[in-house]
Amino acid sequence: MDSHAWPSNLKNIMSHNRSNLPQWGQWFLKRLLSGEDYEFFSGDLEESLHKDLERKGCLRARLRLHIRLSTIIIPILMSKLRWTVVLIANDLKITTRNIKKHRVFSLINITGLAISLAFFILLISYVKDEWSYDRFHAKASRIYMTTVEIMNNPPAAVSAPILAEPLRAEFPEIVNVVRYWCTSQAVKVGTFIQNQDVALADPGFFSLFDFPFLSGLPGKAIDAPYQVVLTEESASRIFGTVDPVGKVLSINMGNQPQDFMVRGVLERIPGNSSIQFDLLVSFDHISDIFQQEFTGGLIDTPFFHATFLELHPESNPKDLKAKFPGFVDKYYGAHFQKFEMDQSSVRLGLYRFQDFHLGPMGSQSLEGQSRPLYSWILFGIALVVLLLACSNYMNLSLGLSSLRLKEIGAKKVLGAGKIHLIRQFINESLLLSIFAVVLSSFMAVMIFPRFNQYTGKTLSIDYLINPSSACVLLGLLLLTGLISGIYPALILSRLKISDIFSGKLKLGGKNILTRSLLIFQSVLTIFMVAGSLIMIKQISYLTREDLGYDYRNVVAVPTYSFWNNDESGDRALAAFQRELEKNPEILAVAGTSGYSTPMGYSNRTDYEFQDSLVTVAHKRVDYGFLEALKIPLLQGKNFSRELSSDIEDVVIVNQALVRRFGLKDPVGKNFSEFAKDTRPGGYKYTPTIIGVIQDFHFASLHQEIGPMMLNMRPEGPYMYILVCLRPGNPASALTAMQEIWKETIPNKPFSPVFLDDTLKSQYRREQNWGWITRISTAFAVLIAGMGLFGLTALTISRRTKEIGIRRVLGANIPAVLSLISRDLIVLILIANAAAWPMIYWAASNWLQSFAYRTPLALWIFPLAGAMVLCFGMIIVCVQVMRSCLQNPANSLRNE
Amino acid sequence: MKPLTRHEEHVLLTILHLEDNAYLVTIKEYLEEQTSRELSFGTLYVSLKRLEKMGYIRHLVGEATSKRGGKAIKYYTVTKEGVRKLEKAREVQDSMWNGFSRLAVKLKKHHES
Repeated sequence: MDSHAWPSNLKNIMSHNRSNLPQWGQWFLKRLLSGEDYEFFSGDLEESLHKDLERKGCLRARLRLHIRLSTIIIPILMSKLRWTVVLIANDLKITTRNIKKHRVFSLINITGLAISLAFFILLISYVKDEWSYDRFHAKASRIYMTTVEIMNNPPAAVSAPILAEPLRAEFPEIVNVVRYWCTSQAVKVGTFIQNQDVALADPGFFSLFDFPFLSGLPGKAIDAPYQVVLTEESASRIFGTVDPVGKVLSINMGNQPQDFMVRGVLERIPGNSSIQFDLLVSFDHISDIFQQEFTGGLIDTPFFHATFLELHPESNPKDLKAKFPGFVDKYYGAHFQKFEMDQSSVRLGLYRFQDFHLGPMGSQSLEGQSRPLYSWILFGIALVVLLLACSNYMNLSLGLSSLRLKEIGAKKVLGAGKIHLIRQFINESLLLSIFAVVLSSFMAVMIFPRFNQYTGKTLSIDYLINPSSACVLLGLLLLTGLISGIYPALILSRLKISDIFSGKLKLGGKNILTRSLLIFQSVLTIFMVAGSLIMIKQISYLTREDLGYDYRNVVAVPTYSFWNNDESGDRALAAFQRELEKNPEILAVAGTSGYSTPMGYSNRTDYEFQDSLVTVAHKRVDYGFLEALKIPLLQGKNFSRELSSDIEDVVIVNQALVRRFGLKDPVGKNFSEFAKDTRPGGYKYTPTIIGVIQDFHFASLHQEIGPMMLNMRPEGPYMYILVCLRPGNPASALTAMQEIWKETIPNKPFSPVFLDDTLKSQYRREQNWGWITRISTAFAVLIAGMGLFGLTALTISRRTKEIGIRRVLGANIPAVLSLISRDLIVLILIANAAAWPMIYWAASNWLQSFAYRTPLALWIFPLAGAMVLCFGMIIVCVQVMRSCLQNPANSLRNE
Repeated sequence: MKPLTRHEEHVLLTILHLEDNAYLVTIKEYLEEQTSRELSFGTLYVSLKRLEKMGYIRHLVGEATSKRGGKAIKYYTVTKEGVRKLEKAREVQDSMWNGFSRLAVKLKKHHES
């Protein structure tokens, strides 16, 4: 054919040695055909493409080529794989028949596997979420947070506003410094008034973190004051639209509403981000909120916000950290001298931001962290449940195989090799696993909302629809199929044909494997039951433990004063005390330097005592403290205005202190009599004890109550005012308090917190995990129970005749029951013996992580064992009864 | 020796008809024309492979042309065994069809009466 005759557009498509076939077709053909054949065949295809091009349009010709390719591949594939396909199809047919024939057993297997795989799906998404926290930023590995250790308090990821400039100026390896703080402030637009999480950040925020914009310009968004960036959710909540750029809203800044212009809207902030906010404004507004400029040195400035550093890719954070003491000396040395303090009392450090979520470092402005322990708990549960389900499968398929011996024998006679039989059994278990995976995905979808509620996450099945998770799930599927299929496959393929047909063979029920699997299952079940009992006991102990004070109806009002020179705490306290006399709703008022120590602002003094150092925490309180929190005074007296001696030199101590120093008669003793203040310099703090109070938890229940004293020395501002309200209607009292607040300290926000709420949120997570353990234990027991049910059913069906004869000869039900269940009882007793040491070891390790723990009650061990035994016996009993109540004639007649 | 299937018979006859120009595309077109039924390349490829394996046809490698995307061509010719097989098939066919028209006419008359 002459090429001149072709339409012109053909010439563009045409070119020598370049295939016009689509990629996927080439890929398939290359694999299906030999090299030479591929050449000829694709040539033929191209030729017919050109013929089509001559006759029809380009598009239709191409379309026909695709159709043609797909019709080619199937016959070629079939001709190549014909026999393999036939074999597999046959296997599948037999498998589905078997599944249908033994409905109950298949159901047990599939549900067991499905439940365990559902747990794994939850596990994968949970762990994936936990480990992906804050890693979605492109610069994630280079983002660090500054940390600080003040005095002897544990390090926290907080920083002071004044540090940013010097850090930027001093270190060339720090590319970017971003200060970030998040606080709840009232936001008002039209009729919308609500408290929102308002974040303050330096302009470098958007070059450091990857929070994509829906609208607006990232570069300039918060460069200037009075500009605000919203998120997708907050924009639609506040304005009812996702594009409010250019509109104006007002934010309460230090009780002074100020107008801000919306400059941009961010996409929804991912759930796995520690940085969460509704609105973002320039960090310059920090001085509006606090009504003060932050200047001065490290001692009289508050550490409260987070500072993020972007390090140069080639710099080493260790080297940088080593330079920090010199840096502190250079910039703040003079300041420390002025206050006669040691520079080492403020130690700066670095912490990688992507480790923050699972790490121990606390920060007020970021989302709460979680403990890696929870991932491990979930992993343990998922593994136990999976092992239980796999053992069920092994037991049942071995037991059932005795009913299928003829099938196996026939196959062998007809020439099926060992490999073929193994493949058949593995295929069978894989097919079941596939059913299970489908079922488990449905289960997971149903469980996700509940699971999210307990774990406080926003997981969904979407987490699994990506290549890596799908691979993990597929691997899990294959693994499950192999683990549960391999043993029956090996055993059954090894049998001799003569043995099979002689009828002497007996599989399952009595052999060592079945017994050890049963023991293994019982051990796991006992372990789960005992473990969850211990967990429940510990958690309820934690949440019900008497804190040593009455937190009900107590409101804590933060005064946002950090250092001595801030007197707003004192002013608020005085105002509230005046109100106390007028307002019957307010029962007691007290100021304190901290009602608990989340940020470590309580002061500490190290005392030398019998060659060791004892750290004593002190809290500044005022006269009403014991009354407001209803802390019982055991000996001596409370602080009172009539006290003759100097009020600043007396303290009330807790029992822990009395015990620690071994004081016989503490009241009236001076500290100098039994301990030595190790503070360097001339000043020593040696107060006299005037009273002893009962121990109360001034920190988290995870920590032990240490020695503590209450004093009235003005060594720190009142950071909180505690107000005890009359039970019933707190609203009116709160309104009154707010009025007073506005009059006395107009420059500080009024944000009261009920102690109830803070404590509850502290322990909610523990309680939720208690629930997760309880539910999963129930599932584990259920799966083990189903397995036992199946196994007993098999045993009984095999011994129907025997039971019938025994009944005829006069055996009563208990006799038959003991016949069937004797084995089981022995096995469970052995399992108990094996499980107890394991539980003991695991539980005591786990309890070690709590300072306040229930003693490891030994009665839990026999209780768990007995529960499992009872449960097993009930399952066996029901079935024995059923078979015994039948007329023995029925079971004996059929032959 | 297995008898040929109808499809294989048709393929062999097509190759005979096409003489020097029998290759996948032409064979397909000819067959589709004669039987007025769509035929997929894959089916044809598989039966050509089978016929070649059984020794009824053999192939010759031809030149590459630009309209084939620079790919060489594979011509098929029927071997001696192929021709013999066809003859035998013809014999069976003929003996089966022998006297068909006479019998058919007779049967038609019978139906009509």
